[in-house]
Formats: sequence, structure tokens, C-alpha cells
Amino acid sequence: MGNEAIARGALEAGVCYFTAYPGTPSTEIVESIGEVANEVGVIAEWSVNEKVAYESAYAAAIAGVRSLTAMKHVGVNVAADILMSSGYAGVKAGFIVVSADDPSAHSSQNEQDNRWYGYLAHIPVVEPSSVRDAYRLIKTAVEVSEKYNQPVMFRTTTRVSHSRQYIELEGDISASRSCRGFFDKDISRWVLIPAHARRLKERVVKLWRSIEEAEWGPPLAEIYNPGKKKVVIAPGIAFAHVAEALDRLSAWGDVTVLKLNLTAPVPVKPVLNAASEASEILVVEELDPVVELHVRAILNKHGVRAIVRGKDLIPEEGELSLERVLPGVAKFLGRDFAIPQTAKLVEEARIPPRPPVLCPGCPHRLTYYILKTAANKLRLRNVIYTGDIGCYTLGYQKPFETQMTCFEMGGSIGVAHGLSKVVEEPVIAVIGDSTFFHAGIPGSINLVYNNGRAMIVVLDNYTTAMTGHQPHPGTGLTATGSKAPVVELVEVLKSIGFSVYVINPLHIRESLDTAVKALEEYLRGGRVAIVSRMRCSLEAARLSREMKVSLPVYAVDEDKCTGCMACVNLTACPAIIVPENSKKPVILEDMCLGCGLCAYVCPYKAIYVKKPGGEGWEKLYTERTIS
Amino acid sequence: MPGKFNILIAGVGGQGVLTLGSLIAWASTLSGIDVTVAETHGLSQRGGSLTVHVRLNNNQTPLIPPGEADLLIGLEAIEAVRYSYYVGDRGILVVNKLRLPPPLTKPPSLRELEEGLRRAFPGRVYFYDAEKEAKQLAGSALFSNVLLLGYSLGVDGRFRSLLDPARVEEAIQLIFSRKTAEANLRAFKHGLSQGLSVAAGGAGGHPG
Ligand SMILES: Cc1ncc(C[n+]2csc(CCOP(=O)(O)OP(=O)(O)O)c2C)c(N)n1
Repeated sequence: MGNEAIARGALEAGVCYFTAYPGTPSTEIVESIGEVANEVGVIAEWSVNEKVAYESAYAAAIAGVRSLTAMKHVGVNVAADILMSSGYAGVKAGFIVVSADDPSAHSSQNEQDNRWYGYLAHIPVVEPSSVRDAYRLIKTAVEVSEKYNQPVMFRTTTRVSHSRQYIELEGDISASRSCRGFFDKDISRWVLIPAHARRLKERVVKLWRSIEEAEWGPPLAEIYNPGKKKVVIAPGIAFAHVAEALDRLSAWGDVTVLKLNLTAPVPVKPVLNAASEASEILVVEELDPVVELHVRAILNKHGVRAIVRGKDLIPEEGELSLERVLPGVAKFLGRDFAIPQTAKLVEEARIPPRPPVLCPGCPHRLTYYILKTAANKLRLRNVIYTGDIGCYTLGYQKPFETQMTCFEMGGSIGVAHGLSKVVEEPVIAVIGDSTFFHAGIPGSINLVYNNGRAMIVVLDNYTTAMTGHQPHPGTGLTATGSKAPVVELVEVLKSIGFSVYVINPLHIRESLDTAVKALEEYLRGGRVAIVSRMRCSLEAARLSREMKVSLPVYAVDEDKCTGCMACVNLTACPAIIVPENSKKPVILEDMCLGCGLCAYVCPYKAIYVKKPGGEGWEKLYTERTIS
Repeated sequence: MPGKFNILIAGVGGQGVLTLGSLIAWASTLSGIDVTVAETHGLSQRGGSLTVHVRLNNNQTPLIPPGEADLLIGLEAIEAVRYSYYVGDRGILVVNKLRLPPPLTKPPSLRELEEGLRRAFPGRVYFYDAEKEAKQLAGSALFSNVLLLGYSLGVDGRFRSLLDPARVEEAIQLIFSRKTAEANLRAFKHGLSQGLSVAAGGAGGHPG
């Protein structure tokens, strides 16, 4: 996998210290390091958020230890403050920030193009074109960082990070690495007071010019078939699409191609060399016209007259693919091309979309049911639920609709606070445990300090589920699987000033009573938080397999079932389906994870435990640590 | 490049779509095939519609262009129909006889889905009740995916000529823990022999 290739390449390049906060599509870089960290003698950490991840790894690099921090594109926003300063102060050893961008926002709230950060912070951006490139270029990136004493952004996209290719290893992981650093108390460099910052800015501007003007060749800038009138410039993953398009058009002989893997700054000489005979240039790049604009500027500055095309022929939004690149390339070359006819089925028209949904047994489903029912009991029909980022965001859908906003990590609480100042309705912020540690704590403090009128619900499923179950400070485990102190989020909330109600949503009736009490205190003007504690059902299922303790399985008693569909409509559980030609639902045994919500909501008591759980099964859901 | 072949795996997040993709990738690598796999992670893994693109000897863009899949393995019938536009002129579809309606929706029936596919791809659609076979064989639907892979290799001679089933068996031993590897191997061989006998015109139904 591209991410594993990056991890491996970084180890070969002598990187000693790896930090990250998980985020698709970046997660597997530090996750895979975590699996081997003790063996190869490096440090791997899940940080509490991207800002801290960046700070920690950057600190190592200013003390002369090679380091890497990885995050998804929006994670860089969280780390942007230190990112900017690091561009001024530079480093003393190779330092890489991997920004894994997500064109088409497969698993993100936007598809921002983080190459701009390179320009903003004067940090060079290296962008691989394939998994194999990622493996090689991460090593080049470390060299560039050390040559210029500057952080380097290694920017991947989903199709590099999450593609797999076979790689011939070209280097070893040295066993005898020293990961000890030395902090040089160079106050004029590390303390960015205005006077120092102004001087450092001079360094940065000079540095940027020298990178722009340097003699770049392969592997960061490679020219194929020089001297043609038509030139295609293809940075990053776009090169793969261009290569296949040229294969199909049999057009390699007609164009000069510049494969560009350094996209900030765009290096001047390779562009001028590629354009030496050019009359027309096409820049094929994913997302924003970053390279295109710089190519225009370079040609303009050097008096080269050529027509530059780019976003007029290549889509600016969404992920690129062969079928989105081929028409533009063909048009540029004046070629015809045939896109294969694809079969369209009549049935396709009736195929419903399948958005992601809460899993069977998901604690969030239980909590949402409990919250809504408690609110109904108190006749609160106009509650505003502000939302956050995680699996629980899926509660935006029917029948829950307990996520009415979702902007960024931690946002639920700040947004709830602000809304509570300007609207009359009750406001409830719903946030996951990992997200609470990431960015929810400052918002909680602010809510109390500024006397906000919102309630907080923390969904503690003992993991960072959305990104594939990484531990966090509340779990008692680290990135390498060793034990850590538990930071108890209930105590955190109490110390901020909240009256905290803890519920175990597996016990629905009891939790409902508690939730009603909590809401009542909130309506009386109390500062209230509910912590709902139950392990992610995918994790409980994994433990159940490992420990051979089965979870209960429910079934519908056909004789008692009237086909009222309460279980279907109130839970939206994917394990409950209505078979064709039937008016009564059934529970798919292989999928049921025994949460019991369907049995609870059935008005006819028609849902029963068909296979009872093994001895102590409940603990799989409720105990934080299971050994 | 010799033996280019595109495989699209379509299913529902949680069905083991990614695992099946990496099994094929390992088997291909063991056969000396240059393989590229493109996966989707994150949100769609939570019960959403999910695909994995596997390209054999096609090492430029990681995504299969629509209309160019040589084989579509549908772990679920609705998803097979959804992504059927990827299937090329000669492409074959191997589809699990399993219909999982997204919650609160009323999609076409299994028969309608099947008929639609047979109409659009006459003679190239194989419906296979992998779930039933898996339960009979190993007592759990977990083994459906390797059954489908075995079956696909059985019915698709072009796929089989590229990827030797023996390499898949090696790959199974490589990526699964010892205990599940055994059951997976059995399931794989079972699917393969059923696929082979269907291809040879034996019992089990011709593709319509
Ligand atoms: C700034 C930022 N970093 C990382 C992510 C990726 N991400 C999405 S949800 C999530 C965490 C979810 O964990 P939690 O809050 O515990 O909820 P769960 O998924 O377990 O329900 C992460 C890390 C993101 N969207 N934004």
C-alpha cells in the first residue's frame, strides 16, 4: 500500500520519530510503523491532534533527529500555525509532513488542495505519481529537507496512499540508528519574536529562490521525448493518467512530457527545458491549477511565448481518472478517441443509493435512540443537535437526525455554544471520544466560561472507530500497543465544571431514566454533560472472536410479529431486512451483534434472544480494558 | 504488456471487499504479475457501497475505466448492478445471490436484478449462492468471498490462464491465520471446482 511504502521508505531514510493523528487517507503510515517500532528502534506515536503531532515531530527535527508527521489534508489546517512557523525557522535534520489529500472527498468534508500550503509556508512540496514513486521519493524528500534545512511536505492523494503495488526493496533499515538529538539553544532561530521573524523571513525568501532555480532532474523532474511543439506537464498522480492516455492514443512520439514531482516551488529549469520548442503546453493536474499558474508565471518571466492550457481542458473538481483526462489530452493533441460504450441497465434506475450507515450493534444507534426518546418524554420536539466528525456523523440520517451540523473536528461544541447564544431551542452538542480529546476540550471550557446554554454528549466507544480503531488518550493504549495512563474524560468534564451523567446504552431503560434526569437538570439551567460508554461493536465482535465469547443473537418470532416495522423504522439497523415477498422483517444472524435495541422497540415483544451470549459477553461491550 | 486483466470487486462495506482485493493482489504477485489495487477506505467501509479495482499487468492509472472490467465480482447483487457499467464487451460477471437492501429502501428483487444483468450481458452472468455454500461447507458466511473467487477462476478461463489457482492457495496461507486459512482453502477449492464444472457445462446452471 502507498502508505506502507512511505513508512518503509522513511525507515530506510533513517527517520526515527513518527507522529500522527489518524485521518483517511493517511492513517496506515504511522499505524504500520507502530507495528514494528519496537523491533526497529524508532518512536511511533498517536498524538492527540495534528497540531501536537506536528510540534512533536518538528521538535525532534530541530534537535537533529529525522522525523515525520502524517495527517490528512484537513489535519494540516489544525497544524497550520506551527507549520507556518516551521517554514521560518527550518530544521536541523530531515523533517517530513505527509499531507494525504482526498480529491473527490471520498472520506472527508472537503477536497482542499494542500499544495498551496507549500507556497504559504515556503515549504517544498514533493508529490509522488504512484506507490513505487512514493517509496523512492520519500527518501528524496528527506534529502531535500536536509539539503535546504527546511521542512518538506510530502503530498499524496487517495489513489497513491490507498493503492497497492509490488515493490522491490532497494535499501535496508539500519539497525544501528541513533535517535538521540541535541537541542542547540539558538534563541535567535527558535524564538519567533518579530525581530527574529523578520530576519528569518529573509532566509526563507532566499531559500525559495534557490530551490526554484536549482538544477532539478530525475527523480523530481523528468523530461520524456524533449523538443516537441506540444508539451504536457503532469505532476503527481496525474502523470499516471497522462501516461495511460498517451499509451492509448499511441501519442508518446508526438509530445514532450514533463513528469513533475516537485510542485512547490515549480522548478524553473525543467519547465524551460521542456518548453524549449513548445508552442502549446497542457498542464494536467488534479484539483487546483497550482502548477498551471506557476508555469504561466515562469514562461512569462522568461519571455517564452507558448499557449498554456490546463483547467480549460481538465476538470478542476474531483478526482482525476483516465476517462476524465483522456478527452482533454486527445483534444489538446487534435486526436479522436473512443471511450468504450458502457452498458446501462434499466434496473440501475431503481437502485437506491447506499450511503454508509451505523453498523449493527453500534453504540451510537442506542445512544441516539435514548437521547431522542428522553427528549420526547420531556416533550422537547425542537432540539438542535450540533454534530461532529466520526462514525456518529451518520446519525444525520433518518430515523435519528441527531447530527444537524458537521464542519470540522471539535466543532460541535463551539457551534452549540454560539447557537445557544442566539436561538431559543435546546442545543445539544454530540461528539465522539477521540474527537473530544482532539479539539473538544477548549470548546467545553469556553462553553462554561462564557456561560453557554448547551449540553454536551460524549460518545465514548473506547476507540477512534471511523479511521480504523486507533487508540487515543482515553483508552490506556499507545500506537505500539503498550499500556498508557488513562486520561479519564469524565474527570476532564467535571474539572471544567460539568455535572456529568454516565450511561451504559446497552441498558436502555436505565439509560433513558438517566438521560431524562440529565435533560431536566439542563432545562433548569445546569451545565450538563452525558458520557455514553460502550465499546464499538466492530471491536466487541473482534474481541468476541478472539476470546471465544459469543455475543447474543436476536430473532423475530414470526407468530408474534405483526409486520408493524417498528424495528426497521426506529433502528435502521442493516442486520434487519424485509425479505422479498414478505411482510415481516427478519434479522440476519451473521450480522446481528446483540445490542437488543430492536427487541426493546418491538411493541409486540416479538423479538427474542435466539442465541444467548457467552459467559460475561456484556463486558466485551462495557469494560475499557479487556485482557 | 501481456495479459492485461481488470477485476472490479463490488460489495457492501464490512463484507470483506478489501480483504478479497488484497488476496488477489498477493496471488498475482506470487505469479509474477504486475498488479495495482485501488481501495476505498474510511467512511464507505461502514456499510456503504464499496469497490476495489484490481488491474493485472496494467500499471499506469490505478482505476479501471468504465467499460473495461474483464471480471466483476459482485459480493452483493445490488452493488453488482450499480457498478455493472464498468464491465467491458467481453467481461464476465460473477454475482453472489445475496441482496442486502440499504436500510429503509425498496430496491428491485433478486430476480429482477438477475434478469436485468442477464439481459444486458447475455451469456456472461454467473449467479452463485456463495452464502449457502459457505454455510454448508464451513458453517459461516465469512467464507463466501473466497468461494466466489474460486468460482470466478473456475468459470473464467481467461482469468485462470493468467492467475494459477495454486498461487491463490499460497496467498491464502500467507494472509490468513492458520486456523482460518484451512477453512478458506477448503472454500476456495470448493468454489473452484463448482466453477470449473459449470464452465464445462456440468450441473449448476448455465449462464443465461
Ligand atoms: C482534522 C481532522 N483530523 C482527522 C480527521 C479524520 N477523522 C474523521 S472522524 C475521526 C475520529 C473519530 O473518532 P471518534 O470521535 O472517537 O468517533 P467514532 O468514529 O469512534 O465514532 C477522525 C480522526 C478529520 N476528519 N479531521
